[in-house]
Amino acid sequence: MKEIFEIAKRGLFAANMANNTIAQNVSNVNTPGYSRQRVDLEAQAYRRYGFSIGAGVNVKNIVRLHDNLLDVQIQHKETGLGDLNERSRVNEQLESVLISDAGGDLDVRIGDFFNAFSDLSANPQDYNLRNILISKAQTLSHTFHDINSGLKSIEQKTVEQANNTIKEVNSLLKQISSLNDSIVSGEASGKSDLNSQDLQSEKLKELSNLMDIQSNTADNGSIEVRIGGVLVVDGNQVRTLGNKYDTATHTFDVLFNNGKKLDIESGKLGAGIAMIKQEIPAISDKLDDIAQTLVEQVNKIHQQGFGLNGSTNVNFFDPGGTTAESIQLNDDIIQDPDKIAASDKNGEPGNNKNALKILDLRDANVLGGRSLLDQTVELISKPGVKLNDLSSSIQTQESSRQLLLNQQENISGVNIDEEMSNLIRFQNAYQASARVLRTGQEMYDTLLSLV
Amino acid sequence: MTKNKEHLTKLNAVVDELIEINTAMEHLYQKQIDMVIRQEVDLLGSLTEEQIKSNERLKKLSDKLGNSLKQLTDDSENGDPVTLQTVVQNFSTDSTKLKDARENLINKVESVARLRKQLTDLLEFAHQQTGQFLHMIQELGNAHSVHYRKDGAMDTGGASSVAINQKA
Repeated sequence: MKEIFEIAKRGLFAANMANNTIAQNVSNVNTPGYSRQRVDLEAQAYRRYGFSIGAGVNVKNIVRLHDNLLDVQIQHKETGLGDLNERSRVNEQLESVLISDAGGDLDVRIGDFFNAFSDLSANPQDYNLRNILISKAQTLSHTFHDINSGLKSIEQKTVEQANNTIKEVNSLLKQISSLNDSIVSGEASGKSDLNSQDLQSEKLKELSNLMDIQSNTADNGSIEVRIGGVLVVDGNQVRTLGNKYDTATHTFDVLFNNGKKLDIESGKLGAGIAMIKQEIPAISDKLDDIAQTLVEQVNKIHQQGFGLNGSTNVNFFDPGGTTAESIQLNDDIIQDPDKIAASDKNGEPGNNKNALKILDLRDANVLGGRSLLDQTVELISKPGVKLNDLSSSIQTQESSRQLLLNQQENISGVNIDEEMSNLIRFQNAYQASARVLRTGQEMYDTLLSLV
Repeated sequence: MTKNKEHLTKLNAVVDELIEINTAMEHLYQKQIDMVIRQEVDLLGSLTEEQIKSNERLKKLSDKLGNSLKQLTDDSENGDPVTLQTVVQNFSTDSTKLKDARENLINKVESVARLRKQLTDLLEFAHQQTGQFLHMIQELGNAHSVHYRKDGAMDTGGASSVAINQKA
């Protein structure tokens, strides 16, 4: 009798644990990252007279249904997505600086500038047309300035974003290490801290979106995290990251506290750094090249011509301003529009040949074997083209990540229909067994009356 | 007298078979208890099938025992119904083995009865618990689901648990 009561006691405990676990699963049906839990039971047996006799079951453990290998694959996809999304975000900003919905982009302004020379060539003595040319040239300079300051602002914002990302990384590293503490003490006490494990998986996923990480589980259940091969989370020990940024050289270095540099090449942070160090400076350099070529080529021809007042050897643009930031019209021209050298001969105010030479620059291959307009169109459309590529890459990456998430969901997700259908199946089995028992009871009554 | 001995031998064989089937029943109930606790309902189902077969066999053996006892009653001059106990008493010189077998059978039957009670209680408990949890899941499901009426307004009334996890 004693063992029967023991079996019953253990049985009730096990049944209660199993049902509580179902309740926990159902309560978390809408909790992101929650992994379904299952009660693992083990049969108890004792030996008597050399025979193994069943003695019910004990709750061995409550396990978390989760595939760690899938987690690693999801983390890898997260890194890719973090990278692509950050590049896409910055390229969207670049596109909005280079191309406006209202028109008046750099290519249009350059076109307007050369068109003003074309108009002037039709009537070189027209004072009004000279003023219009000055106005168009000033608008062009302002467009260069606006784009340049826009690019600087984007770089600054991207630096701020990278700084915030590093703060986010440090916070996640600390959270992961603190969760390690809970997990290790749970394992030590024999009761796994499944909720902390779920939370840690989510934190690792968030971290991998920011940068490429390597993680593995130690024997005591804690997670070790490495960045670029360097151990940054080891139990409850964390190595936090800092950074150093140099505006002039566009260098953005991620550093450990001891000053050791860390190469981050992927994820949101990696993409942000690549934008700061390479992509944005490349656009700025190209913009400067266009400004410099325009200034030098226009000045070179303009110097050789003659103004209405016989002036010559006059620069159209200020020769000291050969960047997108510094380009500006020569003050002499602004003060005296007669100094615009449309003529190629002194004393011929109706001569338009020098203006036509400058107009020819519009289609001349003066920059990298291509025209200024072609180079400008390519420059301003580059972010848009990249955005298109990025958009399709993001779609592909998201689909494959979703596939992995679905696989994980099949393992870890709570399916209430499944939980309910299981319970209904249980009910049916219990009822059937009880019915058969009642039938047996009648037979035993008969048997006992005979014995 | 020879006829009675023949009947007693047959009776002994039936009782042995009854002890055997009851031993099997004991194991079967123990396994069923384990399966209920482990919520292994598929295995519980298979064991229930086995139990049905054992019940049939038990019924046949009980009938057989009844018939054997009836034969002894017919041969006896006394017309009272005969039980195994009265046979053991009436044929005390020829039924030493039967006496031991009867005691063994009674022990087995009592043990099976205890296990059956245990299993019945456990099934009743499990059934009750499962019912409560089904109800709880329905309530939780309703609490976690958002349902909308035809006019687009949110329906805060009692929602069907069938719609759990589905967008309205």
